[in-house]
Amino acid sequence: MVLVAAVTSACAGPETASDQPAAQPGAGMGVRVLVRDMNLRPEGVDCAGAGPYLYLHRSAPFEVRDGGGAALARGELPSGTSVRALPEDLGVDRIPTFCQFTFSVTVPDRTGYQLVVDDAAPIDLAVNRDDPASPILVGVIP
Amino acid sequence: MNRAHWLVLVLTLLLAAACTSQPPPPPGGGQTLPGPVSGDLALRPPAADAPGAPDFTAPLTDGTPVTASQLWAQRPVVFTFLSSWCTACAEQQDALSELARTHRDRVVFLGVAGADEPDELAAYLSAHHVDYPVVVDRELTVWRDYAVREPPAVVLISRDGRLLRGWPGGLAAPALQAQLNALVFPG
Repeated sequence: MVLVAAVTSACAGPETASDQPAAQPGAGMGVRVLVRDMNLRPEGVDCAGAGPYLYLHRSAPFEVRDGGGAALARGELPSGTSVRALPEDLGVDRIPTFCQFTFSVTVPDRTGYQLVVDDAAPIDLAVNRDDPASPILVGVIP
Repeated sequence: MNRAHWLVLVLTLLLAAACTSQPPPPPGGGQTLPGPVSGDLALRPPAADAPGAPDFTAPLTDGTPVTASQLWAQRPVVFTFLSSWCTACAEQQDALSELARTHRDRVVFLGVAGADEPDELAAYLSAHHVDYPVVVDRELTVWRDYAVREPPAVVLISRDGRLLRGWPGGLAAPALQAQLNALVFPG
């Protein structure tokens, strides 16, 4: 039994609790980030940011920070989804698209928010209160 | 020597064997490079105006350097641009891996992995049974040379290094087989 406990202890990873942002009361909020990479894809398929925005991809670590830079939430990006960039029907399958990421975070109320993905430059998130019951954080790149 | 002694001896030998065995080579490394090309490999000549493919030398997953022009000097080459986090890559990969085994030594497949982490790439290659060599394109120079902005993408190159076709967004294995029949193998 002692041996099993010792082996289990030796194999366990480092504690991660200290990596987490300080727990604070918060509310679930949707986040929508539009990457205007203008890449040719079918509409509605999984995507990552194209070209210089390739760091925005599924499983990329992100952090939501307040305006002062304090971490409020962490996670990993889901896959993006390609959305039509131009309203015209071009009559082909692969059309100019943007890549949009949609996910949820639990964050306390702050005056400003930023999204940092994989240590890249922060992306400002605006609070959209079109639906007062379900405000969302919206970012646009570039 | 009684039965218990034999049991201890066998267990000791098994443990010793387990502790001294070499770890398997990483998937996508130098051991996956193709063998000699078949002497009777018949191929369709590429179009005279097909542009030359950009050459490069880059490390495989185990650090073995590979030069693209040395591969296409002997046989056609299929580049598969991939990332472990790419869901479309994963959807196409198992069938592409099988197609690569089907054509091994006649058409060489070369993966070009970018924007990835070594452990995650190794897990992806193992999970999808990728038995062909895979370049680690750390600075994305090969991706840029081939105008790849997002994985997956597939590029087909003739034996003498001409660009035959490319497919941003990748290509399912049956469609790639059809393209090989149309562009590479004689009718």
